Amino acid sequence: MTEHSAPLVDETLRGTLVANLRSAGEALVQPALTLAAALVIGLLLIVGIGENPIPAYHAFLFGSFDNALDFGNLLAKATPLISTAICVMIAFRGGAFNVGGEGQMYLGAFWGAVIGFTFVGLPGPLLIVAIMIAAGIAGGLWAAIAGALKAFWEVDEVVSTLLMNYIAMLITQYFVDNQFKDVTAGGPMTAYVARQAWLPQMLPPSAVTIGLLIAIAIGIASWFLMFRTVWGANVRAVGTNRRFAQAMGVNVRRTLIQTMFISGAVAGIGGAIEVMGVEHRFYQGFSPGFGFLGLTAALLGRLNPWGTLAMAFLYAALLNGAAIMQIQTPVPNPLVNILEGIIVVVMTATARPAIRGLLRRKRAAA
Amino acid sequence: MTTTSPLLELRGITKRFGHLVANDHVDLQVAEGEIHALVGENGAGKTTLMNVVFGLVHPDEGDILLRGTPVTIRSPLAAARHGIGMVHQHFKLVPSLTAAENIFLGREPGNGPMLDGPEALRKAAELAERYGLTIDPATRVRFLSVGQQQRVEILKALSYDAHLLILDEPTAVLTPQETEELIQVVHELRTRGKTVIFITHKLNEVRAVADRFSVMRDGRRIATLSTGEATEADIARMMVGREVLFRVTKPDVVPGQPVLEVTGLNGLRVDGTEAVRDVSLEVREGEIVGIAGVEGNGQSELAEFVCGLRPPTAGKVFIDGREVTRADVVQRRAAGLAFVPEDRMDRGVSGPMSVSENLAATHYLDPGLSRFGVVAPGRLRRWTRALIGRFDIRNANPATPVHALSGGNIQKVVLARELSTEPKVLVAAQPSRGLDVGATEAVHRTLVEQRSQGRAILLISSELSEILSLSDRILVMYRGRVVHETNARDATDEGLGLYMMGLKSDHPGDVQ
Ligand SMILES: Nc1ncnc2c1ncn2[C@@H]1O[C@H](COP(=O)(O)OP(=O)(O)OP(=O)(O)O)[C@@H](O)[C@H]1O
Ligand SMILES: [Mg+2]
Repeated sequence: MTEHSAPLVDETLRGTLVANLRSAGEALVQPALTLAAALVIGLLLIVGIGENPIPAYHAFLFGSFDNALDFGNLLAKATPLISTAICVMIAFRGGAFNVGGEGQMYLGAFWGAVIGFTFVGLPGPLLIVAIMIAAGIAGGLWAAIAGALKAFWEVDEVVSTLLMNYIAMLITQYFVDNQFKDVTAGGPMTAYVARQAWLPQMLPPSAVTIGLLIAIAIGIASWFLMFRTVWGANVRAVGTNRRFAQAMGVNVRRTLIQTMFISGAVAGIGGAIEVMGVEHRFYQGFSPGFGFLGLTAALLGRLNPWGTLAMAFLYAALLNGAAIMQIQTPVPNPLVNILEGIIVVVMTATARPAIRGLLRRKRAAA
Repeated sequence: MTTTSPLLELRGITKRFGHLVANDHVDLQVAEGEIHALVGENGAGKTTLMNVVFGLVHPDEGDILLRGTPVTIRSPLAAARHGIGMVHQHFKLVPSLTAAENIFLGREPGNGPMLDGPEALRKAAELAERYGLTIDPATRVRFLSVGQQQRVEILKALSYDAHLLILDEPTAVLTPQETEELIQVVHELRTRGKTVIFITHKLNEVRAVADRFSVMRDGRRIATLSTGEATEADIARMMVGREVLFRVTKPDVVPGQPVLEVTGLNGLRVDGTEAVRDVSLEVREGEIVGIAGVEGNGQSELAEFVCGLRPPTAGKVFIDGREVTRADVVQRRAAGLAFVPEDRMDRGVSGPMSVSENLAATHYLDPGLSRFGVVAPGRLRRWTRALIGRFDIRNANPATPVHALSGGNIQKVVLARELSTEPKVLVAAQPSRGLDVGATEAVHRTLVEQRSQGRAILLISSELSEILSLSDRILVMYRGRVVHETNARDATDEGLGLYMMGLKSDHPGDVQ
C-alpha cells in the first residue's frame, strides 16, 4: 500500500482559491471592505461613548494627509512594515508561516548597528551596503534555523519562529547591556553608527528617509524573485505541494531553508533601515512590534506581493491616523487600540481561506 | 408527491466559469432506485453538474427538483440533509486520521454529542457491516489502499443516510477486482432502494453497472438511453463525436540497448514493511515493459525507487548505463528519466499553480524558457500554448490554475510535461487514469510513438487491457516480487490473473 496524502486541492475551495490568486487589484477589494466594516464598528463605539465621531474620524482617516510632516511620518511608519510584511509573504509562499519577523528584525538591526559603528572608515554607500548585508545575514540565519528545524525534524515553524523572537530579543538585550552598551547614553543602546551611514531624509522634518525606497525596492524584488525566477517557482511548488516539488526534482529541504533565509533577511534588512534612518543606533525596544504588525499587513494583503506592499502602507496610515486622532481629539487611547483590534479580527476572519489553505497543507504534510 | 416524479430532476442547469460554459442548459432526470451512469469527454461538465446537485457549485440558471419539489442546495451540508451523498473524483480524506474519524469528521454540531474514539469505531463498524463494505475503522487512512480509501468515502457519504449517492469516477483508481466488488456494492445499494449516479470513462462498466446512461458533451446533455440500447462503440461515438479505435497498432521495433536496469532491488513501504523484494528488470530502447499486478503489491514503491523519490534498502538502478541508485531526482531526470506518477494530485501537479508553471516545472532549463534563472514569460506562454494544443488540454490557458481543470485534463497536463522531455526512459504509472476514451487512445498512440523513437518505457498499470495492448514484455508483481515474466504475445488475461492473485509463480515453492 502506498502513502496517499489528501488531495491538496479541495474542490469546495476552488472558487475561493481561484479568487485568492487573482490579480492584485482584486486582492485589494476585500481588505477594503474589511476595513470599511471595521470603521463602521469603530464609529458606533465612538458614538457609544458620547464623542463626536466626525472630527475623530477626520483626524484618523485624513490626518496623515493634511500636511507634509504627517504624511512623511506615515511613510516612515510604512518603511519597517513593508519589510516585515514581505518577510511573511516570502515564507508563506514556500509553505512556512514565519511569525518570527520581530526577532529577525532585532538581530538585523543589532548586527547592522555593530557594523555601522565599527567600520567608521568606510565611505557612506559602502558602509550602508555592508550594514544591510550584515543585517540580512543575521536575520536570515536566524530564520534559517527555524527552516532547518522544520526541514529536518519537522519542528513546527510557527512555534519555533515565535519562541525565537524572545531569544533574539534577549540576545540583543544582553549585548546592549554589556559589551556593546554605549555608556554615555542613558539606556540599553549601542553607540551611533558612523555619520555617513545615516540615511538621508526625504521630507524633513518628518522621519521618512530613503530607507522607504529601499524597502519598496525590496518589495518589488521579492515579487520578481517569487514570480519571475525559476527559484521562486520552485519555492511556490514546495509551498503548494511538497510531494509534487520533490517529484519535479526540487530539493525540498534546501528550498525550505533558503526560503526562510531570504524571508528572515528581508526582516533583518528592515531592522537595519530603522537603525540607519531613525535612531542611528541600535536601541533595545526600537520596534513597537513591527514583526507582528507586518504579519497582519501581509495577511490583509492576501500574501500577494503587491497586496502586501499596499497593505503595509494602509496599515501605516491606520497607525499614523490613530496617533493623530489621539493627539487631536478627546477619543481615549484604549479606543484607538480597540479600533485596531477590530480591524485585525475582521481581517483575520476574511483572510481565513488563505490561512486555511496553509493549515490544510500542514495537515496534509503531517 | 406523485409516483411519476423522478427522484432527481434538473431543469436547464447552466454554470459558467468566466467565458467558459461548463454546463449549458442541462436537463436530467434520475428515477428513484435506478443506477444512472454519466459519461462524456474530459471537461464535458460531469463533475460540475454533480457539484451543482451536491451544493458545491451554484448554478447561474436552472432548477433542481427532488421528487418533484424545487429545492435550493446551498452547501454539501444542505445536500446531506436532502439525502444526497457524493464521493469525489479526488478524495477528500485526512490521511493522518483513522477511517472512523474520517467518516464522522465535521459532523454537524447539535446532531447529538460529537462522536469520540470508541463510539466512532463502533458506529463505523456498524455502518460498514450494514452495507457489506469491509474496512478496518481503526486504521489511519494513509495506510489504506486506494480501494479501501474509497470505501471509507462511500461510507462517509452513506453515513448521512443518503438515498441518492453520486460516485464521481469511482473506478478510475480501482483494480479490476475492486471494481467488480464496487459494482456489486452498487447493485446491493440499489436493492436497498438507493439511487446511484455513477460517472465513469470505462464503457464496459456503463453496461455492467447502470440501468440507464446519459452522455454529456461540451457542457450539454446530448442523450439519455437504456444501457440495453447501445453498444460500447455507440457510447464512445456519442461521447467524442467520432469513431474510437479501441486497438492500438504497434509497429515492429527491434529493441536496442538496455537503458533502464534494476538489479536485486529491495525496499520498504512508508510503514516500514517490505514493499519490494529482489526485483531485477531491464527495459531496452524501443521497448515497453508492462508491470501487471493488483495494486499494492509493490509497483508504486518500485516506481518511487527507480525515480529517486525514496531510497531502496538494497539493489542498484542504472539509467543509460550509469548507476543512479544514490542519485537525486534532478540527476536522474538529467540522465534521461521522465516519470508519470500514479496519483496526479499527489505528485503530478500543484493545483494552485498555473498550467504553465506545472508544465514548465521540469523544463525551466530548456533553451529559451529561462536565462540565468529568470523566466522568460512570453516564451513560456507560447511554449505552453503549443503543449496545450498538442496534448489537447481542454479549456486551459497558460495562466489557468490547474485545479480549475477537469480531472482528465489535469492528467493531460502531467502527460504533456513528462512526454515532452524526450526522455530515454519513461516510467509511466497509470498513465490513462481518468482519461476519456478518446484521450486514452491518444496517450496510447503517444506511448507507442515514443517506443518507435527508441524510448524505453516502464508501464505500470492496474488496467490489464492496457498492459496487454501496449507491452512487449510483461512482468507480474505479487507481494513485492516479480513472480512471472512473459512475452506479451503469449500472455492472456486469465493467465496473468493467476500470477497476479498469487496462485502461480515462476519461483518454485512460492505458491501456498
Ligand atoms: N472552478 C472552476 N473554475 C474555472 N473553470 C472550471 C472550474 N471548475 C471546472 N471548470 C471547467 O469546467 C469544465 C468542466 O469541468 P468538469 O470538471 O465538470 O469536467 P468533467 O466532465 O468532470 O471532466 P473529467 O472527465 O476530466 O473529470 C472544465 O473545462 C473545467 O476546466
Ligand atoms: Mg470530473
